[in-house]
Amino acid sequence: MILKNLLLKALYFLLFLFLGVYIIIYLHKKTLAHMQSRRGPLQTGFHGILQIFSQILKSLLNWPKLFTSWQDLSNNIGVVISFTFAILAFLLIPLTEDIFLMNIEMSLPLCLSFIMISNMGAFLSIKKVKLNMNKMTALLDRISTVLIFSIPLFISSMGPVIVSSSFNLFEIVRAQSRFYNILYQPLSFIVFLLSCSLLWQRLPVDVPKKDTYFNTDYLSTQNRLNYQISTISKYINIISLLILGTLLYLGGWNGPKILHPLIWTIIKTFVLQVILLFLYTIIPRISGFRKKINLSLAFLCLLSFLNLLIIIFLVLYFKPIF
Amino acid sequence: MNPDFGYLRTGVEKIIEGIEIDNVIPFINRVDNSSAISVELVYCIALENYFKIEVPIRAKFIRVILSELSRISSHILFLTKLANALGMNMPLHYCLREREEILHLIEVATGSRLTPNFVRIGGIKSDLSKQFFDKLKEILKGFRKKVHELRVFFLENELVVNKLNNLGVLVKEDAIKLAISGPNLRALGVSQDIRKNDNYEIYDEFNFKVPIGDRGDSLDRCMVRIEEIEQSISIISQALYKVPEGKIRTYGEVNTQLMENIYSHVECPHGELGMNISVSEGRIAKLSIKGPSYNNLFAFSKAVIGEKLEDIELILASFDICVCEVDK
Amino acid sequence: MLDRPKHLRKIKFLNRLKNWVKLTSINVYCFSSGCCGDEILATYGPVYDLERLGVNFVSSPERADVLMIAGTITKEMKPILEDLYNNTEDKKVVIAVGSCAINGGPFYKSDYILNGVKEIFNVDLYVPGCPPRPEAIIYSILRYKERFK
Repeated sequence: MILKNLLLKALYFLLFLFLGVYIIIYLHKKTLAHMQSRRGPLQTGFHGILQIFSQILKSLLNWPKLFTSWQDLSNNIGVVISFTFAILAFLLIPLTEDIFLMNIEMSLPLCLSFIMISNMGAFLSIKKVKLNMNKMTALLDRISTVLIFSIPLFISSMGPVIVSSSFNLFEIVRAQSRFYNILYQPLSFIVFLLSCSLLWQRLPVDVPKKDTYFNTDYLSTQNRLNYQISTISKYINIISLLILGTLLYLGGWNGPKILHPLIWTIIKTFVLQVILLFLYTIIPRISGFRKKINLSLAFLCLLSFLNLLIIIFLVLYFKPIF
Repeated sequence: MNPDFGYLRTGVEKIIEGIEIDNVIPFINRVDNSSAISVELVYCIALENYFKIEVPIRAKFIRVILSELSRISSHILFLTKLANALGMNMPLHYCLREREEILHLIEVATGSRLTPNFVRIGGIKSDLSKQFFDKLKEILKGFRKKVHELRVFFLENELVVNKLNNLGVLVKEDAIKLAISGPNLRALGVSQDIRKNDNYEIYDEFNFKVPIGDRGDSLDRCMVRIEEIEQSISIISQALYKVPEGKIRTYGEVNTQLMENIYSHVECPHGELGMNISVSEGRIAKLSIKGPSYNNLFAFSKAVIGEKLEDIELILASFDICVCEVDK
Repeated sequence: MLDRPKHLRKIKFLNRLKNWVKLTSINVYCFSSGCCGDEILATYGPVYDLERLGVNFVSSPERADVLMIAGTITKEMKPILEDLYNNTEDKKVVIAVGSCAINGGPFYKSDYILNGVKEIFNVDLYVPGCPPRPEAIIYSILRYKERFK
């Protein structure tokens, strides 16, 4: 009985997830287009709502290629791993006080590490790809960025943990019922956002022609299904990172009781997404291993350690405020 | 680094041989795709100087206005390429939007966006109406603000400045050995501009500065070009109020004897564009084009030495090389 | 009228769906040089936004259904183009943009160039002009939609 309930809940969550992915891809395309003073997709469906649907169908309708692609598992295993871990990371995140799947004590570090593993999944799809110099560098570049920028992500997320003295996401949100974390640890929030946007890199679906070449070339020689699944898992990662950001810093589902708490989380995640989009259209691409490591260790990690010191001082001497 | 030639070779210079001198223009203006009007201008100026045909002043003014417009469009295209190499999506689209206005103006005047085919020996093809000048005034009013916006995107963004600073530095001695010209030379601190030094059209009537850099890195190259856009706008706005009424073309007598090595040069957006013409019996005997991009390509392969692999695309974009002109 | 068997109806529905997908999301790989390349860049920009019609410019020929070939095609370029053509999907559409890609354009006399892409492989749509206006390139996409209904 309990198992059946859990399965049903998981199904609802997955439905919610795919709807969320769909909506966020659509909004991403539209907001990006309006920032660039364009219109974005306009003709298929009302204001191009069905555009992404047809793009996903395009990969699924390619039957003969699909069968062959399932047969050679060596090519697929990286994609499968990244997809499953992305979904696992999402299932750990609570959306409101009532809507959640599981309540684990260590949910925050588990979730972050799952996201990291699913980002690294591309490493395993190396076997079938014809390796020339260009593709190899692109692949190593991807892995190194994930490794480098997950360090400040982990350290910066320790700030809210110290305040609530728990790794549980519920406790972290409950601790923010009076003041949101962003008010007294903005440094940590900035580090979290920057490392998120750098982990995100550029999305492979609708970036300029030359831009995709360097970043996703190791994927482009694979067939369409693998490519599409890996992009979808990337989007799932983005969504779970955004929701984590709202839970850690923006108070999660807390808010005036005019609206349903679920709607508060959705609104806050959308605001975060727009900020991230703005960051990555304005800021030039950061390339080169040395520059990345300098940025990560000398700037982001330093800031987050500074933030940790401030928070520890605050908690020790002004405990009754929180 | 050695460039590999031949993939875009069309052999224009060979095709032209034997064609009457009036019919050459549509062939040669395909050589420089970002500012075709400067190629037409060199050809016509060379023959006019030899035959001593006096061009009417109104035609000269209109030529100056159009060539400055095409200079602006070419420099904005450079900025789009730079934004693409930097990975900034928003400035890329803003540049494309601004370029579209200038191309629209060129189209209203000449009938074509990129290949105008407008300049003739002894004048221009057709007169410009009063409506065109009104439109030009209207667009120029708002355009300074837009150029300032682009300047904010590229030169007041600290991340971009840090990235471009000290990237792909070209040494002065190398530059002089390779005989490069144009904005890439001016970024090194050499004030060399044919518009100032040679006064080929009526450029001595206008007030304008020649912007120069000091170190010759990618930042200087970008800065010089953005400032040149502003100078071109000021030239056009001065020319607008001075355009006199009158004829637009004079038909001079053309000798049919053999003539060799008529040379002239103009300042095209990429640098010095020279042309050497030999004519016999009213037909082209030999014509050779000396483009600036050929030299700039070798300057790029000098400047790239010692830089990291991921910055090569950016340095290539900062040199603004027109590929059609390299392999003509 | 006779009722059709059920499996036939299913096939008809699938074909319709496939057609709809083919017409609404078009992956274009662009191989361009010279002034035609500038005009294709302009169609990407804000004034003539090609993304409205569901066009995606992709970075590798493996994922493309439409090959857009623009600019002069020299004899040295021939093996590269053949390689490109063999790497794309089976049901592909080739669009030749500009008079150089159609028949050599103003340089048709030259020894260095081929007289159009048609000497290498089949071409489905031609976009005339030297260079063609961005509206003409958009119109070619509309004609593609009309033709493969």
